[in-house]
Amino acid sequence: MRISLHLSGGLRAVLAHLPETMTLHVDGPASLRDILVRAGINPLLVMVVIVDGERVDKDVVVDQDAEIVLVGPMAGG
Amino acid sequence: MLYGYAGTILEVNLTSGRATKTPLPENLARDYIGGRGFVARLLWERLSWGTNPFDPENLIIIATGPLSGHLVPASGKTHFGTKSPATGGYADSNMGGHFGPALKYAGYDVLLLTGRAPRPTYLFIEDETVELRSAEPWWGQGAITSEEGLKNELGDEFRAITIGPAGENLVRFACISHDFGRQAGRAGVGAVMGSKNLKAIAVKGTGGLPVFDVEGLFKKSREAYEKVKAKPGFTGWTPEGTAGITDWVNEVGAFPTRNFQTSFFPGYKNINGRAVVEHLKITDKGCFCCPTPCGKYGKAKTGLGEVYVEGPEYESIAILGGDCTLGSIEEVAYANYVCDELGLDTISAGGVAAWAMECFEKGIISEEQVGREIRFGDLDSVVYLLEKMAAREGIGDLLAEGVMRASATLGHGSEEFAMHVKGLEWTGYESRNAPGMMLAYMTADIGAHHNRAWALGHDVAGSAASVHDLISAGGSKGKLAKATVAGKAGRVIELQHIRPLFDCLGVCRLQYMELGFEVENYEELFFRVTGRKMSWDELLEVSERVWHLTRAFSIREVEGFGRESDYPPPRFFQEPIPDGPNEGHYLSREELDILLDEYYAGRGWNKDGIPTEETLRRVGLCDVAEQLAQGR
Repeated sequence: MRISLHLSGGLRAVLAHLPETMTLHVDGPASLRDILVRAGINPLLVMVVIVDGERVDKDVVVDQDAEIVLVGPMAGG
Repeated sequence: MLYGYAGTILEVNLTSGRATKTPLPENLARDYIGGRGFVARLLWERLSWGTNPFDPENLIIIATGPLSGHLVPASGKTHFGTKSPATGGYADSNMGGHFGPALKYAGYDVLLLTGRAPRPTYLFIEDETVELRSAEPWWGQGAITSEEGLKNELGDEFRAITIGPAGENLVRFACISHDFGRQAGRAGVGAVMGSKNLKAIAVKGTGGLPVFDVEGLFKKSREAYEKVKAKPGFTGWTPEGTAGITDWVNEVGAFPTRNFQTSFFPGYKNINGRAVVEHLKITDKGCFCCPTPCGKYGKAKTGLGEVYVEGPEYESIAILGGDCTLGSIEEVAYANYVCDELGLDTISAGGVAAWAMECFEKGIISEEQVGREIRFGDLDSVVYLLEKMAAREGIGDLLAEGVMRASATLGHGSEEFAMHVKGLEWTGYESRNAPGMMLAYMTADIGAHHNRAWALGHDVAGSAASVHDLISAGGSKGKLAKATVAGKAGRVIELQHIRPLFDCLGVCRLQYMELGFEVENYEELFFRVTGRKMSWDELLEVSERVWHLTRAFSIREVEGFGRESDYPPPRFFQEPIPDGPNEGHYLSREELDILLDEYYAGRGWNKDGIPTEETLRRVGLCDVAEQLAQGR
């Protein structure tokens, strides 16, 4: 599977060494948590995951190419 | 010419009714930028030492920033400052909405209020016209009801701020309300308005603002909006707003639950962002020029009634939901509405209610004292306590003092779990395994507030298992490791300069902090508006100056202020977290001392947390150094 990862500003604030966008090739199917670990991202640092425009739980399994947005920690108002 | 600014300070003496207009000093704009910076400097200069927060001589300073009211993303912020009735020290609180831009269009960067009106009054401002008018029809009415009444009388084009009964009755954590659901919530700014018999301020402005480079600003602003909307996270952030972080805060074991007895709320999915969208939300609601509207306006129906309410946003969910353990988003929203209408800060009021319920559970206060049984998770109990607080009736008179004073009066160990710093109730992040966040709370200038420095993400990055370990373990769920304490102070200091800088500029920080809208954009927008070329680092130097100044103010005003003022309540350094992802963790008093020692050293303060004369001079506060040294 071709996985495009887009990291939000809040996530890059704590993972400054990672680029805003990265592409992975992952054997599927794979859970989002596994995909994140393979990308070098601790899933605990990801607050929100959006797969192809839909907000999903981190335990969701991805079985095809996907565009994934990762939103990092952020505070309340 | 001071580009970007309206150019005038409006001072109104509520005792005499006299209004005075003076030019905005150029050196004030240069050295303090605006907003929070203006509040801090003017409080230092204009407030007589030792003034009681409820004396007529106390000041309310309402200040905008140079970017407020311009075509800049999220430029609707307004800052409110005073000497806090909650802490006795420095207070400021900001809100979004549209009040600040309206004030600038009327011609004023700063509104400075002194004195006490002889009877319930509201301040009417329409461009040059400044009048005190009777607020008798609304005195005793709710903050939202009063705003609606004012708009009905004056017209929708007026922007109004109001207080509710809590402010009128001098509840020490009363807030100022605006736009039917935005609040300057913290540190009792609404109570000081009440002490001045000032129910509301209504403003209509029709003027313009001088801009250094109009065409350049339009171009850069358009680009800025497009950049914000293109950011990864934009589509994930906006639909749920701040409520969307509820799941994550539970996942990392930082969700205040049962008066901070623990840090994980098993029912969190019933009160999270998705619940807001599915059960409450009617529409998004944004502030002036906001590309990412985080407000969620909706309707909540409970056994106690049906209400229209903005929110609840995350902090209200954490404290009314987790900390008071209300089990559904409808109940949280209902309690949120009750706070808004009564003019209570949801954070402090919810914290006080949670403290009272724990006191009741432990037998420290009785059914006879309270007037009924109260218990966690019961909406009736929470609403009962909120109404008593706002009216200062029965037990409410004690609760209206806030947990620091109430626990000192009540005793019997209730001080151990009175969750505050400096007299201000704790907000929505349990920090017993988050040393950076703990330090941020300990050293925040207004008390236990999260918006000076939000370090929780960095704490989790430090305490979560390494990615290598995760691969070995085959996943990422489970317990967090005990966080290390050393080395946190530098990051907290850095954050304490970044977030408050947005409060000086007069813009919301969400676009930067949460979406990663780059700081270079703010340098550019600041230049196009003001004509001043300042790098981000130079702007941060102003923010640092303000930080030392607010510390100096509290040292000046609070007897014995220093290191002891910076410790959290004993629960946080004596009780391990009983369950959840951070089970067993806490920070010992020795670890808190390591945090403070590193922080004070990094700040250039002495071991007791007092800025040294050398530090104050370095940041351009020579007069403050001299006055503190002379004790006057």
